[in-house]
Amino acid sequence: MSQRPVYVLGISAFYHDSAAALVCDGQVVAAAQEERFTRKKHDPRFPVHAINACLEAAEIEAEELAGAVFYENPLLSLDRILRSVAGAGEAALPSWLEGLPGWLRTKLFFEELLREELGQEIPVLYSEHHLSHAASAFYPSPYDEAAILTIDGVGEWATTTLAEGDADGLRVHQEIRFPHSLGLLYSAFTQYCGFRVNSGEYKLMGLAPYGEPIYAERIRDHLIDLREDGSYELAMDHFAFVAGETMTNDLFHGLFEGPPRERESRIRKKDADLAASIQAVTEEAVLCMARHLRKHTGCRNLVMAGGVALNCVANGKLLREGIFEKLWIQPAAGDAGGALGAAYVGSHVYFDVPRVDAPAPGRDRQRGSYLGPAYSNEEVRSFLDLHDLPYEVVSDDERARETASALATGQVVGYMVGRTEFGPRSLGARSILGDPRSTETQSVMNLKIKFRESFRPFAPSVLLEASGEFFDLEIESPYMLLVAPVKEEIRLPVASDAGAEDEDNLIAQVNQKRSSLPAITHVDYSARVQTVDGVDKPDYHAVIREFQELTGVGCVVNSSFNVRGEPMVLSPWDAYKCFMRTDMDVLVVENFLLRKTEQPKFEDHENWQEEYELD
Amino acid sequence: MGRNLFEHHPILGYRFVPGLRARVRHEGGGYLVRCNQAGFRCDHEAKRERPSGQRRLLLFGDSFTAGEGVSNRFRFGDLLEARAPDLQVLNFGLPGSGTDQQYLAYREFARKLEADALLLCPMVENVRRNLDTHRLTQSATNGQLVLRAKPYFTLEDGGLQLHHQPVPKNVVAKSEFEEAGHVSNLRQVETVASPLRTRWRALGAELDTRLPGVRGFSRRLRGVRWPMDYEDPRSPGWKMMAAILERWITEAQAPVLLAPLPTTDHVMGDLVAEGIHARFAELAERSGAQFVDVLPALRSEPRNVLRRFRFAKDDHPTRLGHGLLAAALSEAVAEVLPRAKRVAA
Amino acid sequence: MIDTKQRDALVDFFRQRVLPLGSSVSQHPRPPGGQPPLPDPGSLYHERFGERPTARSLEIDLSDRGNISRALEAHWQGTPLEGLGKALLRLAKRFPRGEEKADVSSDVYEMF
Repeated sequence: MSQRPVYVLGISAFYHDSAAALVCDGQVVAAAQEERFTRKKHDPRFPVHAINACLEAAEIEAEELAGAVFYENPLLSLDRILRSVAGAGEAALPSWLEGLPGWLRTKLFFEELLREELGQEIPVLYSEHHLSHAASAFYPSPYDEAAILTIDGVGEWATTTLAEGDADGLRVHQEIRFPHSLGLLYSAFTQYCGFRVNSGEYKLMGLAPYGEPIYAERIRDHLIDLREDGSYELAMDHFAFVAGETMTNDLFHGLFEGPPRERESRIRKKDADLAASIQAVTEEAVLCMARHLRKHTGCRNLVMAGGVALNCVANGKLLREGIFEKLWIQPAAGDAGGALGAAYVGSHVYFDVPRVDAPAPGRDRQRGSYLGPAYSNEEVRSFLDLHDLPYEVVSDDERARETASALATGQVVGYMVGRTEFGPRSLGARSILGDPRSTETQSVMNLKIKFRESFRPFAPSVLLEASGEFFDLEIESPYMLLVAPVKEEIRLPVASDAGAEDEDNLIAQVNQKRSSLPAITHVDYSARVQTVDGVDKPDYHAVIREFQELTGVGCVVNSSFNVRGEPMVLSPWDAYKCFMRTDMDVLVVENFLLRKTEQPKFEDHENWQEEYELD
Repeated sequence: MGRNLFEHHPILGYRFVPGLRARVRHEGGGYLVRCNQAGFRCDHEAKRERPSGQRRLLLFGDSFTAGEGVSNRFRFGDLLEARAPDLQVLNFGLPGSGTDQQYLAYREFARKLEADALLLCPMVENVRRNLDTHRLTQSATNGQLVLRAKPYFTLEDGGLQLHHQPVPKNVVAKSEFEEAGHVSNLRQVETVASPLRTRWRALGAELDTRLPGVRGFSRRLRGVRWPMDYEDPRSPGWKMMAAILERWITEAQAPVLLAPLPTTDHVMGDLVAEGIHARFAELAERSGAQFVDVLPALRSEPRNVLRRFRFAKDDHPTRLGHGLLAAALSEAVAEVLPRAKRVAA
Repeated sequence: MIDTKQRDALVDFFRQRVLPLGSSVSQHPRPPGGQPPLPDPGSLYHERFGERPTARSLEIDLSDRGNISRALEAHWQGTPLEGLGKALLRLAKRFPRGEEKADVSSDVYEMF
């Protein structure tokens, strides 16, 4: 007798990066972030479009859902908020006025919102924030058993959780609780260094290689009591985030001898030193936790999630330390991934669905994280035809050849093929591609396409089979979550006085040619690597392979398909707009290829450069 | 934000994107859209030969027939199919269309298909769409309201003259729209932007909430007839619809069932439908089609059931509404099909 | 956006119901399924003793206002926050559903 499939919908919402994910019989079917649909970066609203996309992908009715799981427990969150503001006193009034209406209008009424959206009464369950993260790390991983480390800003009370997964499910061992938070410590430095909290943390990490960790000792002495087992407490008298309006206070500013850097002002050597320092402390904490977790659980594998798990520099170090034999990180490590974890918690804990087998030994169950919506060739053609846009129809093979050929001649290609990525990184489904050999690529892609000057180099996508030629990386890194050293053999010497005349000029430093792949080599000879195999993303693999045929280099530059501050493109229209607003040369959308030189004049009615805020 | 469900078509003006798989958010909780390669919302491909051992019904209409608000399998066409194991229903419903476009869909996509019967389901409310030269629609790229050309007929020397072929692709800004053109939904959409009318509508909705049935009762007392086009056989709206249907029925290669779909207000008895009944019955009589009046069967249902015939805001039929329509149509369909089979044999 | 009446109601609630709780409640006194750091000076972890989530632990009835109020009250029963659930739901009546906040703060980590 056939049983009905058990569909469980996971939802994360109301803080940042709202998302929905759908798991069927323990296998992820779809996952999507709301920002891609609403075009509002980090959109925190109830993810109506993402929910719709999940049900669309599965082609099911809402009543076919066994249940929906919210990624955290609102009772515990509200408990934490009330207790925190009570403790903070009158100073918390502004954030109370800012934050409580959201609870009174929507956050408490999640079930009502869901019921209205689905037109159905379905069972609604509530996971815990870090349990959701833990589930998102363990269940899709390739491992039968693993230690689990989740670190982020804050969920309900937990900010860091040490757990374990095995055939019997998840076990939570230990945790650190709010206000003590490694994620919030990192965000405090993000704000102090003049970047946006909730999104600029990645920039701070990219800034670290320019600096020296000269403040690390000061951080250890004054801001964090870090124990040998990785447990810690923050010196709360230096922070203002509990009251809620900003991250740091005068004591913090005094400790680092000055006020926060003004946003968009020139980055100073001091900011780079601060970045290097907090990066060093973060890495130290993560390594201590990992050692403790290894000892505590005896597991040989480690899986990670939570916003701090997006710190690919720390991840790379963790890997090279060899504390665990294997490491897997949930690519949607931030709150969006909580939706996926919640769906897994519902499936395995509540509905008792057995875990699905890995597709092959050593392969994960994340499907390359290509879990969002795709557009058919018919949909693309109808869009192009409606607007009379000139295009060439290309076969899969021709697409790979034409794309590679354009890249090899220094052109920049917008590439939109297949289901969109779930998670913050572009992995070849919504990517802007360039030639990594060219010294021009970095500046052209930054100035003419991203409309920014960046001290961060671009990331490489490399054929899995060729990654050893360029990087010291012994394992796969399909989700661009590991930083690896560029091979000694392809490094180039840099004049010792490069940038010395102006140590604050980071752009000049990053533009120094440091390897035969200058566009992707950071100042410390590292790179954020994405390895590409022919299984999860054969079309992208074919492009890089063709590029290798033409150039001898099985690696391309991969940047997210957007302009700065814009969410990654989703639809053909998003892609075309971005293509026409920038200096991209070629646009590939499924089996259609468009050349900029052949396109009609683009009349842009949106003031998009103001519409999208900076990171 | 969502997918674009439609694409331009040079004959019809637009059709569904062929092969589309989509889900549309809706007050009813959302619904699944599955289209065939011909660009119609139908689970079957429109192949020339009917499947062996099966009878085939070709179904035409607008969004009521295409099933706006419900997934494919809950539409009355699909429910008719589910009632008869040897019946295939090919749904050619085109949302927002007039009888003119539905007829063109038949000519372009269905005329050469093997069929045992045609079921034409014009939505009575949309009689004036056949006079439209353009329709006000929302741009899929920027959400703005724009005018798009549609194919339309004029009556010249008693015959039908087709215009806008191929249908122009370009959109027309409302300000540039020439007065000579006709757009029946222009006023309907404009009222949305009018604060006064918005307030008036809100008052009406509030009245319905506080005193349900009062407005309908008032209409029943007054014997309101609507649309007025059916009250006079010489009205421009009816003349055009009748001319198109007559030509269609004449050209059809199989028996034709003519089943006009009433509004919920007609179903509830709040609006008088005598004119509608009279016009379609006369037309069927003179053209050789079989008139199917679904109203008696629908009105036999209790009012508390009929209140759920349509969605609260959207006036399209709910799953229940489609179920009632299928039940109301099933007898006529069952009767016409065996006859068609004998003719075919 | 909130209007003056809503603002006043929030301020009153904050000053009359929340502030009096004082800093003594700012740490979670009764962690769900765990306990504060063991008296091991070397570690600052809160123990959860390998606790496994259960089906029951995922069930909270927040299906309507009455159930939300009851769930909050049950959660805070016997704590200084007892009674706040009902009070919050009363306060919520002054805040009809509106547009959700679409922007994410750039100055503070979103944790409210």
